[in-house]
Amino acid sequence: MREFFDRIFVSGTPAHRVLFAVWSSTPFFIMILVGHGWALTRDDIRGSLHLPSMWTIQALMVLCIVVNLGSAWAVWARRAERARADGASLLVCLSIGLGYTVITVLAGSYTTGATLILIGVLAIGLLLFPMRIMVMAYIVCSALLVGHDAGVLLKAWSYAPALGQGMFVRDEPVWWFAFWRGYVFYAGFVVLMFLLMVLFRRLDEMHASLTQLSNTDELTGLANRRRFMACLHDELSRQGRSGQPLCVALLDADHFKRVNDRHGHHAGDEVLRTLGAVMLGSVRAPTDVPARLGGEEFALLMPQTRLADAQRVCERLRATVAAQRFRHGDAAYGVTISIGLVESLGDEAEAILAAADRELYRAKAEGRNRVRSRARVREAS
Amino acid sequence: MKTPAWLSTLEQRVAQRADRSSIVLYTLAIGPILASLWLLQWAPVLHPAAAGAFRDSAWPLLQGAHGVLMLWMLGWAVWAWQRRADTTPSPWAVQAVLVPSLLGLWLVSLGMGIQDTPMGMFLLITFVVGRGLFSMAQLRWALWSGMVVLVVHEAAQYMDLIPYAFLLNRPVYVGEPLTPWWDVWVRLTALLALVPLSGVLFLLAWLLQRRQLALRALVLTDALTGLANRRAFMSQLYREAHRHERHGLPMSVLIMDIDHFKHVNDEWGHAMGDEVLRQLARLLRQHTRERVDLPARYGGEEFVVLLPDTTLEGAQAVAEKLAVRLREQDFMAKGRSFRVTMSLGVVQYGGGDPDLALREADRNLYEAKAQGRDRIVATLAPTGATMG
Repeated sequence: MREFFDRIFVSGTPAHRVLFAVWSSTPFFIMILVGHGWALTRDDIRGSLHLPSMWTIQALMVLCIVVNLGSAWAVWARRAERARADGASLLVCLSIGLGYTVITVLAGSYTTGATLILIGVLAIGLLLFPMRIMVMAYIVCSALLVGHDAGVLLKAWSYAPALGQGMFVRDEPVWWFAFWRGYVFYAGFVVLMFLLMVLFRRLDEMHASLTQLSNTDELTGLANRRRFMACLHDELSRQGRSGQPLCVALLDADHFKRVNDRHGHHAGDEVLRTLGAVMLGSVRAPTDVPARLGGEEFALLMPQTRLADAQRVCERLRATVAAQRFRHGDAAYGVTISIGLVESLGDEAEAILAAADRELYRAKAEGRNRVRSRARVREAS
Repeated sequence: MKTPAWLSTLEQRVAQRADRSSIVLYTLAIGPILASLWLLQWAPVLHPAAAGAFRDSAWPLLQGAHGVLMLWMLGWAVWAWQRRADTTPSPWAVQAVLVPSLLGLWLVSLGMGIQDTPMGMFLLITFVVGRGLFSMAQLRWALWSGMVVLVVHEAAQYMDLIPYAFLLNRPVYVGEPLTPWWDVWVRLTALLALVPLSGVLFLLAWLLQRRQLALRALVLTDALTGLANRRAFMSQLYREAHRHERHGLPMSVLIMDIDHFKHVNDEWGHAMGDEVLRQLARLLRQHTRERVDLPARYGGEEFVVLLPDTTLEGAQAVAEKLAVRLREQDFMAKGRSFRVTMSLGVVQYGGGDPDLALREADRNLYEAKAQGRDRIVATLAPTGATMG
């Protein structure tokens, strides 16, 4: 279902969209044609119908089917191309829109569910076709609705011209009119309800993936800097309430430039991806946030964690990375990381990161491949 | 097309789905509809043309309940407005607004007759507005109870327990010309329903389009330079490689890296480093064919250009031009000017896995770096095995 939706409404070419509109509307046109044809053969029903209106509808349905199929035929050959198909799109929109609009005005625009079908058709059209084509079709169909109604108000013609005498007996619709009215209403209502649910779900999903994408690092799948900073601020404000300790580690791959220079960027990327995977594996709770801040610099946020526990996590992380072997062609090599870790008891985010950076620098200066940590006591302000 | 500010604000509010601001917006959307219907329902006592339309016993009850419902919603809206800054969820308030308003509007619709009046569309409007502002889970109770009411009503009517349009003495449309009052009423209610409903549909379609564009931009472009990102480049590379296999036209790839970029960052600051990257991106855009070549930021200070229909000689010429232009560019920082150079690896694709061609280009780039930087190394890629 979702794949189908994506194939047509998201990645479909303009020609695909035209074809979808034709395939999904033509069966209904044929149904209307056949249903009305059947009604016209029945003596008990025919008497209640205004025959010129009915034949207008029949002729219009034939015309709509021809226009639909013609448009489908015109775009069929280039259905896989991304080229615009504005002409065919507009023709199909107008044929479907006008087809239903004419039925609506002939059957009574205000007293049937046909308007629901019109709205449903508008919803599908808006999903399929460019806005300006839909605006054009919308204007044409609305003009027809309003123009017809103006004629009714000026008494140029009567309201609901297709319906004659004998549709109602003692204020109740006769069986076939009750059936028609119920069918039109519920078909319009159910289809529209379903469409709207799909549309809204789609909007929600898109919003979720937008948020997700703008929060993750593409190469490693970890949180990116933006997300990390947001989490850090959140956790700090939570810490302000709970008073629990919080640890932040900054990680940096040692001599990463050398990997890039010796083995190429592909190898470098592979190292970064592995680092990301190792960090994801070392996370203990869903509250821990591993992130790639940029380049070869990573960070790990550990809320509600004491320094001793955080040290264990970092030490394990360092050892896991150091034990990892990478292969590039015939060469096998290892990569080490240095980690600067601080515990915070209510500092500013920038101060914590700066402190972690100082520890990281010390770890590098002391010969790399090690964890340096420091407990910070809140400085009296 | 420029987006009006109020529309962006609305989009944000809707996307945030904070319970209290949603309650306010919901009341703003549904309230006027309820109020208009309530006002229209005064006609039977105010105007002789509408006399006798409603059942005498039903009208006071309807008008009273309808009025109470509006006051109830208004009360919650005021309550929510006063606490709009607070985004903590308030599930009970949401239900207190959603369930009675939806059920009330649905009952009025059923009582006037849903199949022969424009009231059927009100069922949809409440759903659309509700679903736009709340999640499906929040709407569940209102929706299920509404469906139950609808089904029970249809069943009771089928069994002749209640008449069609139970609030009215006679249904609105009975095959005869509409009475003068209903003639006005159907037009007003249709306007009340159709205009917001189609407006909301256009708005939704616009939102969907915008999200799609934003998503694509986020997925396929590099935020700093506005060039294509690595993902966009790779998918285009594979597409072009397929085309190459079919048509056999030549295709080349440039890969370049700014020399001593770390030094630029350290010496002149990160902002200047970003400016250098942006300038290189501008050069790439200027000196490649629009819509044919694809320049992209591959990561860090590394850029790539995909050159379809281009031989190794052509690609070398492009590389030469880019290198010269970058070398001639003056950058100003801290009152002094400096220049940067870059190294380039060039390769002509020879079929097979395009990833191998990219690796070959990468090797050429490092060859250029190893030879002392600020130069170009170009080779034909080995023709690999066919793509699997």
